[in-house]
Amino acid sequence: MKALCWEGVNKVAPRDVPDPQIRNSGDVIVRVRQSVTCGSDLHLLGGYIPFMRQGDVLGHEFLGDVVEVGAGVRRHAVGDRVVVSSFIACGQCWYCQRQEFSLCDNGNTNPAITEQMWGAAPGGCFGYSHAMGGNAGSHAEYVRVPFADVGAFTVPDGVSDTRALFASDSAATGWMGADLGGVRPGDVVAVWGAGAVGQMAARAAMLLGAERVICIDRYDYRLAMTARHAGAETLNYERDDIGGELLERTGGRGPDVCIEAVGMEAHAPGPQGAYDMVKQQLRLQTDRTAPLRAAIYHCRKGGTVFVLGVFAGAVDKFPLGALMNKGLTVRGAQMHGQRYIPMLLERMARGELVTEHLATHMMSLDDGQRGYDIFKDKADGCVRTVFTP
Amino acid sequence: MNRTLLGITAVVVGGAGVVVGRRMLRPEPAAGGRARWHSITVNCSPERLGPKPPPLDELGFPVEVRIRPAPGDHGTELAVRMTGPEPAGAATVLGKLRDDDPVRAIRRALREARSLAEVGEVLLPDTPPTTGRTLTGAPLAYATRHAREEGRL
Repeated sequence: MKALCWEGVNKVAPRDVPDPQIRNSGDVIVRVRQSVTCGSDLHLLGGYIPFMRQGDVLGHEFLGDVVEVGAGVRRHAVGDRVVVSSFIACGQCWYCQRQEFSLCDNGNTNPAITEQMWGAAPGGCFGYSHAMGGNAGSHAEYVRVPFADVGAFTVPDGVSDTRALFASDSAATGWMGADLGGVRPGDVVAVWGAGAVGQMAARAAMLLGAERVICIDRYDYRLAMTARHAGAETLNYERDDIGGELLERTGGRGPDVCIEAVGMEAHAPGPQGAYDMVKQQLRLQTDRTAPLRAAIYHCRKGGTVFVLGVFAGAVDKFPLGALMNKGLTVRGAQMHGQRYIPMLLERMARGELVTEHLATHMMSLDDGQRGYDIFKDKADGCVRTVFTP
Repeated sequence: MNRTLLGITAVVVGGAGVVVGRRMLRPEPAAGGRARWHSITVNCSPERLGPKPPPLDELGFPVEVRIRPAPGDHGTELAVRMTGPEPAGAATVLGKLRDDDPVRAIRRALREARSLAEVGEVLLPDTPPTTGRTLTGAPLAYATRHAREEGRL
C-alpha cells in the first residue's frame, strides 16, 4: 500500500510499505478516507522528538471504513464508517476505567522509553514515534486499529467525513482542555493558539457556558476563523497589549481558565523568543514555551491553566513563583479521546460543532511534502492539510 | 547529512547510550543484600489474579511472588524478585549481551501478566515494520526490541 513516511528532518515521502495485519483479537483494519496533519507532527518532522526511524508512517487523526475485523471485535463490522481516537487505549486498566484513556497501561508496546524520560509511560498513539509505541500512522491507505471496540466510533449518517475527522483528535483535545480545565458558566476563558485545537478549545468553552472566550494568536486569518466559527473574541499578540486587554476584559481579575494550545515550538516576539530558540537549537532545552509562561502570568489568582500543546522534555524560565503564589491549578494531558468522541459526534450531528473549515487544503499522499510545508509555514491560509489516500 | 540531523543523531545515540549504560551497569548490591522487588499494579482482585499469574510461571529461574491488595481502588499489587541476588556490574552487561538477563525477563513477565489479567492478551506491535535498517536508527531499534524489558519497574 501507499503511505506517507518520515524520511528525516523535515522530509516526508510517499512509499510503498507492507499492508497492516490483524495482530490482536481486538484489532480492525481501516481503509483510510481522510487523515489530517497535526501541529504535533511538526515536532516529529523537526526532530524535536528524536524517536523516529526512517520509514515510519506519520498521521494520527483519521477516519475511514472498517475492512477487516479481529476475532474479538464486538462493536464493529466490515463496512462501518469509523472515526478513531488518536490515542490507543485498552479500556480495561485502572486509568481507562477512570476515563483517563491516554494514560492506558496496556496501549504502548514500548513503555521503557517514556518511563525513563517521564517516570511513567502514557498509552500508545498512531504515527507518533517509537516512544509512543511505534504504531504505523494513518497517512496511508490502510491502518491497523488495536482495541477497536474502545477507540473506534461509528460515524452517524448525517455527519460528513470532514466534520467527523476532527473528532479523532483536534475536537477531543480542545474539549478536554475546557472540560478538565474546569470551565463553568460565567467564566472568562483565554486560549493561546488559534490552530485547530485552539479553535476547538474555544468552541468547547463557549458550549460549556463561558461568558467570554478570548483567543490569542498572531495570524489574522486564524483569528478571524475563530471569531466566526467559535464565537470567540480575538487578540493578535503582535499588535495588541495582551496583558492590558485581558485585564480590561476581566475587570482586572484575569481569565478564570487559561488554555495553552500551542506546544513545544511556540513563537514569541522579542528577546524571549530568540532566547528560547537558541537554547532549543543548542539542545539546552527541549521545548519553547512562551504561551505557557504567559498563561500562568495572566491567569487570575486561584485560576486554572490547562496545557493542551504537546511538550516533550524540559523547559527553561518556568514561572514557578507565579504558579505557587497565585494558587494556580495547572493540568495537562494527552487527549482522552474515547471519553469525548461519542458526545462530539452527537454535537456534530446536531450542528453545534462544525469543523469543515479547518480542512483548508485537501491533497493526495503524493503531495505530502507540500502539504506539510504549507502547514508548517502557515502559507496560503493553511490551518490543516487533509490527505485523502 | 545536515547539521541538525547530526545533532539529533548525537542526542539519540548519546541518550540511548546513557539509558543503556545506566541499565547495563546495575549497581552491585550491598553485601548479603537480596534482590529488590519489581512491582506492578493490576486492575483486578487478588483472587482473580491468582497466586502466580502467567507468564510468571514460565520464568526459567526461581522467584518469589508477592500479591497483596493495593490501597484504595487500585486493584492488586503484583511483585516479583529473584530468590538469589540479581546480576550486577559486568554480569548485567553479559546477561544483556547474551539476552538472558533475569531482570529483563521479570519486567517483561510483569507487564505481560498485567495485560493478560486486564485485557486477556498482550498488545503486539505492527508487523511487518515499515522501517528499514539504518545506522542512525540502530540505537532506537535496539531500545524498542527491549522496550518491555527495560524501564523503571
